[in-house]
Amino acid sequence: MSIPQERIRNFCIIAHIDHGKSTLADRILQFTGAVSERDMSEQLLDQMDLERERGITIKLQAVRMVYKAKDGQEYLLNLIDTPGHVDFTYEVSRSLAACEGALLVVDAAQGIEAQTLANVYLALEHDLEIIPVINKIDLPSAEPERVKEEIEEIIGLDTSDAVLTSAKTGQGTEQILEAIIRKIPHPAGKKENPLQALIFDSLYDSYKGAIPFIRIMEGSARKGMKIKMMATNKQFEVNEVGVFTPAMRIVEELNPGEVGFLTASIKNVKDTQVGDTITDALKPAAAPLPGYRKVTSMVYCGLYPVDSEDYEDLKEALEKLQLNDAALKFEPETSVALGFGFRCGFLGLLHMEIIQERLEREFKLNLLATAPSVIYEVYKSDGTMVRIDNPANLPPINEVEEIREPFVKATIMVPNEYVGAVMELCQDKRGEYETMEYLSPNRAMLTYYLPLAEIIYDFFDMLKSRTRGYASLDYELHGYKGTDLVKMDVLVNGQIVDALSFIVHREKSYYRGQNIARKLKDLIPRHLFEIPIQAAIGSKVIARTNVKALRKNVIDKCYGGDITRKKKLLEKQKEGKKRMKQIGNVEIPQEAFMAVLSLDED
Amino acid sequence: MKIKAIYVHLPFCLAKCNYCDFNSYPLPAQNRRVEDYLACLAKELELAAGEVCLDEITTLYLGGGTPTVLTSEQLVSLAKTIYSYLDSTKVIEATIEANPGTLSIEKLTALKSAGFNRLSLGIQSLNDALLKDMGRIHDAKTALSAFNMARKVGWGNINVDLIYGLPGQTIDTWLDTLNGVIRLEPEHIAVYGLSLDDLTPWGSQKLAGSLNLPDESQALQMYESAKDILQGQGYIHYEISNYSLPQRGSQHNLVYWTNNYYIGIGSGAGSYFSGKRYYNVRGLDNYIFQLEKGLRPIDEIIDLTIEDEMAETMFMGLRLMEGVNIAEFHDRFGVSPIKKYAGAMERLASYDLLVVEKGNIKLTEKGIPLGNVVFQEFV
Repeated sequence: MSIPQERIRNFCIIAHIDHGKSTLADRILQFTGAVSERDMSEQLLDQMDLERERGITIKLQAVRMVYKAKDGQEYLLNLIDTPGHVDFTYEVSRSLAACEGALLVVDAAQGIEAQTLANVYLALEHDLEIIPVINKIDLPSAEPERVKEEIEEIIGLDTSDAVLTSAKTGQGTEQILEAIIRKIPHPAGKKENPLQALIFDSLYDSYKGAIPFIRIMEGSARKGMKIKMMATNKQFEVNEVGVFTPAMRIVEELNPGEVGFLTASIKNVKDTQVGDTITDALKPAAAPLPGYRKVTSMVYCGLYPVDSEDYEDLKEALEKLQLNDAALKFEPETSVALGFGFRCGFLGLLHMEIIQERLEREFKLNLLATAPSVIYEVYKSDGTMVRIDNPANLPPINEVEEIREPFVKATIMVPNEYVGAVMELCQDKRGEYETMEYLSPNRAMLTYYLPLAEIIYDFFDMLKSRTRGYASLDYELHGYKGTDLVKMDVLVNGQIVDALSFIVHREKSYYRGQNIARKLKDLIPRHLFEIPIQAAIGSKVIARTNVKALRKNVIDKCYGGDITRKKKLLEKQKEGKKRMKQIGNVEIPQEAFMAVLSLDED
Repeated sequence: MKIKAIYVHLPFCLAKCNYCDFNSYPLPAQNRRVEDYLACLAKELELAAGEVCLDEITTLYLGGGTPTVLTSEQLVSLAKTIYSYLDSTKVIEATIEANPGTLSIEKLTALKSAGFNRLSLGIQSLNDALLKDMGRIHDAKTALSAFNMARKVGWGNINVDLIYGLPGQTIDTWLDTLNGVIRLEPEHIAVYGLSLDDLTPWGSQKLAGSLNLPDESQALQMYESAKDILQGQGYIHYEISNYSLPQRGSQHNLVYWTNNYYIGIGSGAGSYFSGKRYYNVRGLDNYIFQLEKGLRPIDEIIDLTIEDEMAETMFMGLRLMEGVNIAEFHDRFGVSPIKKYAGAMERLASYDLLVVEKGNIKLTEKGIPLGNVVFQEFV
């Protein structure tokens, strides 16, 4: 099967969560016969269990299809999937760099959402051809004409030939494929040129080593060839090259414009850096391809094994996850309370939750996570500046001149009736108003500068609840600003638990201190003695409560018929204790370390 | 080790109480199943006797449910069947559980002559309002007259079950009940704190937060006052929830607490012998179905390791106020519990929950209401 470069199309799909991207991708796969009706499992691209459960795409995937178009010719299509969540802008950027075009999928009833907009701008930055697709036109509430207007108004895209589809019923799938062929340019690049292959993702296989997923920009790649990683200068010999059908299938060679993978016994995943360029070791390219938007960790937290003997296992697990997730960062740290662990950097809260869940689920680790923190810039009186990603490391307050915290520029799209509620929320979260624009007579777009720390605290949940889920949010890092911040320590049984310390704005410190003390009181089980819990700024205690001593805990009845049942009950109680961290005399459950974060119910 | 005790289960009662999570079925709905069930008990006994030795059995316990919802004829006939597999000269204690609302002079006389010598009366409370809330079928007056009837007919060893920590119960109503029962001078009193399984009516109300339960310190006060008063009246606190006059401890239950072998017959009954624990199928239909096919009605067999048996010996034995005898443990397992559980014992002793005294390991006064904290260290 040889399809000339002129008949290759590489594209991705940009969509807001729930706007039907995965279903649409499935329809395209079915239509082109890449996947038979029989093999079709729901939403094929979301392969990770977690992705299915949460209904989102985290890890990008690629699929190659052959489509026989109406002009009678066969075309080779590569669909590179993109995640839709605000945390994963970085991943989106990676898939965009490997494409010439993008389908912009917008829900016919809901219109454009903030995240879609952000991704469209990213796509425009990459000079991609964008095909507007209005999905879910089968819904009774669909308003395709209004949505088209919105797209024209906000993005300035011509929607005269936007495709109207229903991924659910399959309506419009062929029109999409035809539009892809007609509108998206074929890849440039010449086979004679030195190889330039962009690594857009990688996978680790215990037999074949690190497997880079590549898009050939120039030249070609085949078995036996000597290749060089341009960032590290490391050289390897190619064992096999292949494509995604969606299963990985070996081919003879990969030519300009093609998307696939290669194996080359690459032992260390660090040698397949996403964004790097692979070239021919014997005939290297003059320069690497431009990389793409760099990963910035926005959120940090400490991850500790509950059982300190699991430290090495945790380290290995993090290394393994990092193999397929370049955005995950970690370095060892120690906590007085928790012992040895890792300070980990994430793209956002969702990313953090997913990593924690995978560590627990896939690696069976029993973990303690500290509350997430942003990076603070601490200017000391001696003129130096330190960057703090762990509140416990804040220098003594008498050495601190000023603390600056990261602010984001947040874009919020919301129906008019909620504008007031959103403004109130932003105000409450120390936001600074920038602009408000009306997208249509009944939708507005607000721009605020907000402290990132507030966003990771509970902003998103509150935004959703105050707008009945109608608001959408996107944000990007804007810069640092000095604010009146203080460090809150938490004392359990008279002892500071460093892993519970957090940095908070002075105005909110009293309330947050009360809140954490109350939550810890509910979370820490009763012990044989009373446990005082205090929240303090410096030496000033601002909240105090007690966990009362346990006085009665005994199985009253135990006879011949239920000895095993009662024993199991005791084992369960004992097991519960094992999942806690012993700090001094006190056993603190895992959830306590996240208590700083949890929503205020009242 | 020989099987020392036999338990026979009758899963019938007149009406389920609001806190009951036992294997029991309201009789009116199950009347025609009773005869089938009794026939199956006989079959199971037959099967059991073919496999294990029942000759050394010293105690019999007929429990439920409410065994006494059955007719005198049914119960007498059952006793006869059971005794036919035992050496009656060796049986020193034969208990039958009874609900005060199901007794008559006639029935009490019949049971006594059928070979029962200990009566366990589920009085629970002497407060009519509380009894009604619990869903009990009897009131305080019925309970008292049932007790007196039993005495009149010659029952010389009677246990009374009581529950504290009931919704709406106060210290005063509890003390009234306790004193009322003491005046009856029973040989044995079992005092249970209310514990609720989520699946019971009260359990679900508790989950929903709509049950007005005494708080922990009130419950503890009820427990402590009961202990003080009963001990003041000459009762010996010999197990976490059990009190008796001297020499009147429940011999049958002591087999469980000292972790000796016993056999259980009937649906849901448990057995322990040959180093294994056996649990019969629960549910009338299952039980009858199995036996009508001639199969032993076993649902689960747990093959205990020595480690398991040691752990169970500890946590059952620590329920007894005299505790676990170090020498006996050593004789049975070839290792001293002091050595075997050195770490746990040191920790517990440092919290003043456990103590070694006169060759026994036992709970301290402080350790009794915190028994689970101690037991956990051994399982």
